[in-house]
Amino acid sequence: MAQYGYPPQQQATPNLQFYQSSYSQQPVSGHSTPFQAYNNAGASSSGYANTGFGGGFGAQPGVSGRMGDQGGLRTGWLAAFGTEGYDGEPPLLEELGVNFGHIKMKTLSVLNPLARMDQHIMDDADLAGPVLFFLLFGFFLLFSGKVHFGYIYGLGALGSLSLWGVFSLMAPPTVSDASSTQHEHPSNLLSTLTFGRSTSVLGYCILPLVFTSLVGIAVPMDTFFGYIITSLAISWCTYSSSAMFCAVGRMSQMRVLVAYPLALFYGLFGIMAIFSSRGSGVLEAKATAGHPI
Amino acid sequence: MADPTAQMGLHMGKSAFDAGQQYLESNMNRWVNVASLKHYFNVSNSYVVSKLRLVLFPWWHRPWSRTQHLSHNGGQDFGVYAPPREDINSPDMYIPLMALVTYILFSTLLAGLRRTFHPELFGLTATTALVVVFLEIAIIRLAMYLLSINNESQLLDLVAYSGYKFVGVILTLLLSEIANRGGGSGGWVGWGVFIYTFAANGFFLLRSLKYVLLPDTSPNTNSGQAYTASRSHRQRRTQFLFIYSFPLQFLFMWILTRDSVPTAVLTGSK
Repeated sequence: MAQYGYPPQQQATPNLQFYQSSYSQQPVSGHSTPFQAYNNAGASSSGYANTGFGGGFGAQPGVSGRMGDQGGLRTGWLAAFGTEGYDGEPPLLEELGVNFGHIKMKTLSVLNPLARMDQHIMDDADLAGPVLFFLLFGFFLLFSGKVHFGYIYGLGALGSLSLWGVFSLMAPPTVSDASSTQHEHPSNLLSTLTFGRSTSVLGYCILPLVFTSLVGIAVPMDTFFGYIITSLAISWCTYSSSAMFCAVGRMSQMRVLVAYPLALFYGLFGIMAIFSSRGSGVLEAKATAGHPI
Repeated sequence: MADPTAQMGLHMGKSAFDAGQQYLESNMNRWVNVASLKHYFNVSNSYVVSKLRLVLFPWWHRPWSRTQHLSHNGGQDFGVYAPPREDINSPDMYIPLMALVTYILFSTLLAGLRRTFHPELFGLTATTALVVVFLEIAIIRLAMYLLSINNESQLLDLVAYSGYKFVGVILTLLLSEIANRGGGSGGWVGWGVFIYTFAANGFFLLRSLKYVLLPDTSPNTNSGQAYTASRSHRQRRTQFLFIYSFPLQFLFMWILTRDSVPTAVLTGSK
């Protein structure tokens, strides 16, 4: 880990000025950013703060405003087009907090209906995977002819906000709050189910519907076969997301109750998928032919 | 994590975050009391199933009173109602909330199947339902004031009790839609299910609101006031309870199960 030099005089006031860095060249280990370090130490409750602040501190080295002076960039036009940065700089993905290993693990636990949900699966709730899945859903619907991005954004935002509200009310208050004092407010509102984690779970579990929309590019979904496939996908989404929510929110004996609003949420997305696929003109034709109004 | 600067920075960041969180929550607690709201959502699977069965078949249920825990706080003990998880008679907010949302989505779905869908329908249905609930609460509060019923029951209890009718309304809409094949909620099946769910809801409210509206006449209550209500007073309260449970609910449930389009247009007959 890079060493930060301290200014030699330590006044009585705690130093609010940041250090003047004169760090030595040291290779970066796998535990360079505090984000990674905290993750490996398994701290769960401060994961939320760490993603914001840990990454920022990891990027501090070398930004001293004096280029080429100490331990910095190589100069010259060849180096300008190269990809090396400062010495001891962590790789970009690590700095951004995008952890493909975690994403893969979470995706696999969604896809495998028999997997048991680990309680700490969502401790580093990232939104990279969910955003990717929602965008894929929108793009597959686009390829089948209908542009529904606005509906996806609107339904996604409204739905995830209200689902977070309901689930954070249903989740029991965390143990640390229960043991804390009676006379100060326990932090009921946020508990273990923060908005970031809740949105992350919702986004990961929409993967079966993404597959359905992929199928809907080629095959019309208005048929009986399409209804069956979409219902299957919705129930798969609901099953895995209710398992994840019960694990993350530490809820007991509430799985069916958690599954019901999730089924409504994914059902609305499924309706979008059905009425966007290639064969959706069939329904309109049937409607206008049967009942002239 | 050997680096002290980063550690200090993280600590600062964490305390700043906690301060922000506390500020947010103290502002939230001015408007919405989250702790008492959580009490209403402390439900379990078995509670919801039993409660739904109770709302639809209240005839054979025996004790209707809510259980209380005695809690000692600062020298005086008062009764705290048990959460819904432990007490079947306790009102919750999960069922009314889900029933309301299901009602809005379901009636919009029905309109979509009848090809009378337009996006404002969401707002219309939601407003109608919320106005119905609001009117009921207003009527009960007015009656409690006029009849001088001194009951400190929570507002959310009353909202919950008036939200249970949505279960019956959804059932009516569903069964009549299946039976009439899209012809609206009239006909024998529609009216039959409506009358049954109306009666069940009325009976349920009669039994549950007895503890809210009628004075507790048992001699060993530990409520502070010892007042003697005259006979006509008690009679008036009982009458109000009856009027509230039956005719008023009939009106409101009928409003909620109306078709938005007259059936003559749908079947094509003039």
